[in-house]
Formats: sequence, C-alpha cells, structure tokens
Amino acid sequence: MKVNYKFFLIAICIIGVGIIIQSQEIANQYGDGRVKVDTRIEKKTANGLDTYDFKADSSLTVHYTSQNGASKPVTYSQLESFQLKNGENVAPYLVFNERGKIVEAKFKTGKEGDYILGNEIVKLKKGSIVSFKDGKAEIKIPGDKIEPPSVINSKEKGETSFMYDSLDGQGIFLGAYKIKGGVGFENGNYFIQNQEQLELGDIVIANPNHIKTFIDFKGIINGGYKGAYISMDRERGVLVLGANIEQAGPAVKINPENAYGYYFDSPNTDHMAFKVLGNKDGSYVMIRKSAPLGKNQEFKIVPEIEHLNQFIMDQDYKSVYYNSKNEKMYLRPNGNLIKEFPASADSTTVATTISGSFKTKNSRIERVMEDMKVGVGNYNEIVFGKNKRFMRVKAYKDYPRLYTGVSDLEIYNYELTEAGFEKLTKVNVVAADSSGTAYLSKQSNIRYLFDLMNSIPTQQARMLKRLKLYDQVSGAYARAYSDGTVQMTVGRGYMDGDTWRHEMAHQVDFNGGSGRFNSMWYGSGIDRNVKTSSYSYNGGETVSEWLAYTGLTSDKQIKNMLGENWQNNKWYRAAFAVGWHNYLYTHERIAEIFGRAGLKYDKESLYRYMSDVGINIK
Amino acid sequence: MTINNTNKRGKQLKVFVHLVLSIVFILLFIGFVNAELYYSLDVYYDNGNIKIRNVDVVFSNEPLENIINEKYFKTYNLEVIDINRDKKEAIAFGVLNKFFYDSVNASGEIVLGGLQELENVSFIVYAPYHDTGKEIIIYDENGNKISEKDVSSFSKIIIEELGKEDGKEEEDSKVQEVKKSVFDIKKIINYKYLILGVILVILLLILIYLINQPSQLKKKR
Repeated sequence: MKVNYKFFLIAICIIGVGIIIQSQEIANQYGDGRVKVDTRIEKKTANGLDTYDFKADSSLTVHYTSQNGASKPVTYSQLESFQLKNGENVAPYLVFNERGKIVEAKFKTGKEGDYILGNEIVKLKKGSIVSFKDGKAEIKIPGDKIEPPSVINSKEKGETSFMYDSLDGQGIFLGAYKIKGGVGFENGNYFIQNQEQLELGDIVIANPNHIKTFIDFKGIINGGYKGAYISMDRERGVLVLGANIEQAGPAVKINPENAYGYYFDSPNTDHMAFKVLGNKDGSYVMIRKSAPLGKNQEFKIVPEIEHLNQFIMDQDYKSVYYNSKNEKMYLRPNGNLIKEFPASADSTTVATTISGSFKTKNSRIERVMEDMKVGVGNYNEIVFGKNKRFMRVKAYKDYPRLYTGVSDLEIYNYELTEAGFEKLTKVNVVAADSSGTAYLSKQSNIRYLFDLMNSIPTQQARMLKRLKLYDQVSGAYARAYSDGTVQMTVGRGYMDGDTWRHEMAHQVDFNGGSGRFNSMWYGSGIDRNVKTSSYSYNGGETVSEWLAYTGLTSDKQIKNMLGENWQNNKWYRAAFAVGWHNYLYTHERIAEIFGRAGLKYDKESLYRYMSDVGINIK
Repeated sequence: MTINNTNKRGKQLKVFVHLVLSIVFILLFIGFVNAELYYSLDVYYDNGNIKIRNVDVVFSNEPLENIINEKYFKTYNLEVIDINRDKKEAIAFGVLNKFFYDSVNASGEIVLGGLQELENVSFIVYAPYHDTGKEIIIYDENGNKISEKDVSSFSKIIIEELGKEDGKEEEDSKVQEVKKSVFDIKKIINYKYLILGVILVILLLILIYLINQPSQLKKKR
C-alpha cells in the first residue's frame, strides 16, 4: 500500500496553523516563576491589561512555575455568571496585567479546582463566587470551611487580601468557632472586619469601625500584625488583645463562661470589657489565668492582666484607663468608657489584678507606676497597691487600723463562707449555737474574720487552732484556751475586734512568742511598766490589754492612752518592739505606729529599743 | 591579655555564676522539700494522769512543735522506742490545761477575768515519726512513766512483714491505705533528696574544676 505522505504533511500543516490561529500565548516573566496562558478566547487589551470574557464553553489555562521549579497548569473553564444582591447579572471574566498576573476576576466556579488570584492559588469548590479587584478578593463558598490560599511567589506574599463568606450566610469556621459575616485571610493570617458585633467563644467583639482584626489561637503578644489582633489560647487560659496601629482595636467583652479564670458570681450583672486604644509602637492587654497556690493547689488566684500602652478596662460602672500621652493610670469611679458595651449603674465587678503595667518611651519599654498594681475585688472595689494578696481599701469604722481590702485570692472574693475561711486560715471555726450559726452565715462577717486574721502576723495566726462563736461565752465574754481555742461572744451579731486581739495575745503568751517572750516581757520589767488599764494588773493580762489597746486603734487613741510624747518612754518603745519580735504585731503595723511617732522602725532600731530596757537580742 | 583570653574568662565567669546560682537554688529547694512526718497523739489529761487515746501519722511542710512554757504549763516528756527497745526520740511538751477568761462591763471594757486551770483536757502532741518506731512512752514532770502506746502498726518493718504473711487477719483496708500513703510520701522525700544530692555533687565538682581553671591559665602563661 502506498502511503500518501503529501496528504499527511498537508493535514499536519493545516492542524498546526489552526492551532496557531486559535491559540494565543502570553509568555511573561512573572516574579521568580514563569507564567504562560493558553486559551482560544479572544482577548481585549486596554491600558496594558488583557481581559478575557468567558462563555459557557470557554477555557483558559495558566501554566505557572512555582519557586521550587514545579510547573503546574491551572485551567479556568466552566466559569459561570452570577447575580449580585441588587439583581445585576455578572458575566465571568479574567484580567491579566502585562506580567501575566491575574489582577481582576469575577466568576462562579462550575467545577472544583485550583484558581489563581494575584499571587495566590485558591482551592474552590463548585459553586464558589469570586470577585477580585485591586488586591482584594471576596469569595463566597458553599459549605463552612476555608482552605487557606497558597503563595506562588514568596517575595510578593500577602499582596492579596481575601474575604471569605458562606453562600448560605450560616457562617464559616475559624478554628472551632463558626463566624457569620465573613472571615478574612491575609499574609497567612485570618482576620475579621465586616462584623459590627461578633461572639467568638468566650468573648464578644464589638467592631463598629470595622477595624481589621487578626485572630489566632496561640495566646501570644504579636507585634507583627499590621492592625488590631486577638490572640486566644483557651487551654492555657491566655487572651491577648492588641493593636499595633494608631487606632483603637475592637472592644471585647468577657462572657461569664470563660477559659481565662474569670468567675462571674453574678452572671446577670457582672460586667467586664476591654479596649486597646492602639499604638504604632505596639499596645496590648494580656489576660492570663493564674496558677493556684497551696500544697494541693487549693487556693485559686484571680486572673492577672498585663498591658502595654493605652487601654481601657470597664468593670462595674467604673473604668480603669491608662493614658499614654500623660503616662497616667486613672480609676474612673462613675461611668464606663467603652461605649460599645454600655454597663448599667447596677452592674458589678469581677475580681482581677493588673499586675504588669508597661509603656513605650523612646522605643524602650518601661514600667508604669513602678511596682504598684491595680486590684479589682468582687465587691465593686478598685484600688492601687503593692501587695496583690491584700490591698487596703478602707478601715473599719470601729477599728481605725483594721482594714478591709482587695485580694487576688479567690476565696476572699467568692468564698466568704465558713468553709472558705477554714480552707484559707486552717482555723476550725465552730458555731456553738444559733447565734454563732447566724454570725457565720453573713458574708460581711466572714470577710471581717479574714481581715482580722490578716491584721496579725502569720506565726500568730498559726497559734489559733479553733474559733468558737457563742451567743454568750459561758461565764465570760471571751476565753483563750492553751490548746489554741478562742471562744468569742457574737450574741448581737457582732464580734469585738479589740477583744479578739486580746485573746490572741493570750495565745502568743501561752506559746511563748518567738521563744523568749517570758524573759523579754516579764523578765525585763516591761510587764510592770506598760499598764493600759486597771485590768492590766491581773496576772497575764498586761500583754493582752496592751495589744487590745494598740492593735487596731488610731495614732490619736494611742497618744490619748500613752501620752502625747509616748515615744520618749523607753518601756513603751520596748513593749512595741518586743511585741513585734514575738509575733504580736506585723511589721507593717509597727511601721505605722513608729513612723507616725517619728521613730525609726528598721530591725536595728527595734533591737535598740529592746536593748534600752536590758533585752539583748544578739 | 589577649581578647580571646578575656572572652574565655568572661565565659568562665558566666558559667561560674550560673553554677553558683544553681547550687543556691538546689539548696533552697532542699529546704523547701524539707517536709516531715509526725506522730500526732491525741492525749487526754486528767488530774496529772495522761492517756494516749489515739495516734495518727501526719505529714507537714512546717515543723510541728509542742508548746513548752514553764510559766504556764507542767512539762512532760515523751519517748519513741524502736523494735530493739532503743530510744529513737525524746521530746518535751506542755500540759495544755490552762485558759484565760475575760468578762466585760456594760461599755464593753474587760474588767474581770483571769487564768484558770482545767482538771481534765484533751490536746494534741506531736513527735517526729520513725519508721522503726514501736512504742511511745510518756513521763510526767518527775520522770515517772504515766502512759504508753504501741505504734508498731505504723512501723515500716511491721507493715512489710504483715504484707508477707498470708492468712493473717486483714487490717481495715482504709488503715492499710493510709499507712501505705505514709510510706509513699517518705519514699518520695528520700528519692528527691537522692536526686538533688547527686546533682549538687556534680555541680560542686564542676565548680571546683572551674575555680582551679584560672590558676592553670596563669601557669601556662
């Protein structure tokens, strides 16, 4: 059989010419890679841009070479038109620039596959609607899960900002949370922007100004975000709200059920909201669940807050506000500052401590308020102080030097019960009768007992084993037993603080103070020289009366009792110093008494006062 | 001195400081884990006589001490005897049978009261635990033996022997559990000490080596 080579040659030529005629090729340098477009669609060129309008049977293939050298074709076919909300019909098209990069596109996918938009490859399911222009891509997807786009050229990473939303409007998953209104993706990070208000797990985000807010689940401070951010790690109990721009981030309200350790004992009224006011040098508020204390971790500690630069915390109908301009921290007693979450006047607080306060100055991070902290108690009290375990709020009316305060111990905030008192103090508290029971049922009384215990040295507190409360102690008002039991009368719903200190002084006396109390107090002659009442002359009562009259009283009362110039009396000075050395007074109390009398109260000075009456401590 | 030598000395100094800090930290930690076991004796005092009503073993991070104050209390003594009849411990304690009572007038001032003595009272006495302890004996202020209590059920040896014997009347499971936990705690404490001791020795050896280093450098020069 004779083969007609001429026929084959002509046929091949015709096919070749056909292909050349029907296909156009763009071969442009494209970043690190190379892009080639094969299509049979007629292109329209204007202003250096090539536009391809798609019809039902149109097909266009982009061949790109990624940085690792792998070449992959991406075919745009079965692109469909779609309708906008206003009913306008949008026909599918792609626009390429001179470098072969897709810079504009609108289409609905007719099949699942990869689609290049700008510098990124997006995986889309069938039925996805894409609107891409000016580096912003809006994509509506069927289903509720985003597959994050991958980058073609890392040098141009992050040039496209994606905003995903679900076609059915039911939301898209970001981590474990389904978010309605759209989830953005930019430069490898997720963000939210469209929502006025959004609930994300245990927080509510209010963003009426539509600030781009990056979201991650690492719970870390991140100065790399170009905008506001929320970084949460529920497992570690860390929430970071930040804004690295000169614009306030969204307002964030904490929900009663949260992973950060905040306990809302009045979920309907407790109110807690934050707002980071933004700073180009970085600004954040970091909320952190605290590690519990105790051998068995039985003492929970309220969450701590650390901040950098300006922020607001609303609690109750009050605000804590740090102003970077004048570098001052404000406690605003009336009214909230975060308008996105208005609080009513009957709202209440949630206990927390602002323990780290920082500012940037000349590009350096410095402490604000040195070692001062801000404590927020559960009873609508906000206060500055150094010791987060107890910050004084106010003195009791009847006892000018007995203070109630704010503590970071959860028990002091939320467990003002007999059980809570026993757990924290290790003192067995017993209601001996109905008056005792009634007394212990009141939170204010338990707080008072805590405050009394807090007014004495730890060593003295350990001497108290049992506190028994009676309507009327048998044959007396109060008793102190050598086994560590103190019996108190609470018949009128009131326990006398001075008497309690009196009985506790008996306990110190029974225990021998820190070891040499007998020789220091009785042997030195102090006992004979510091009588404060006629009752002091009873054996063993001098020290108890001395403590009852000086433990919780004002400086004025001390002067009234001991004389205007008591500080010149060596016995009085020595009595206080011996009291300090033998666990009758805290050093804080001695500092108050001596400081206001113009006496030194360092260790050496206190030893000197003792040595003035023949007590040699060394 | 060359820059290299200066850098070397600087690095050595850094290592030296780190080592010293590590040793200090370990010593502090040893102090922290210095928890002990104690016999907790529930004693009943009645007109000079004492009866040990119950004994428990308790664990405490802080030293548990008895009140001894001759101004107020008679001082009695206690001994822990082991299975070989050797005295393992001798401690004193005060008989806590005193109390102060205070009465007030209409204006709340304490005007009446004083020290009282109870004829009978119960209180707690602590004594350091010994895992070979067999008996606790109490002596009065004149040295007369007035009470004794068998504590061999808390002895490690007795418990281990009991565990080996079959057919013996089984102790209350709760009691066994408590005793087992007592020994587990003891083991943990010993184990911690052993590890920390080894680490401490290694660190000390490195420290001694580093202290000797500069003199060797000098010699080389």
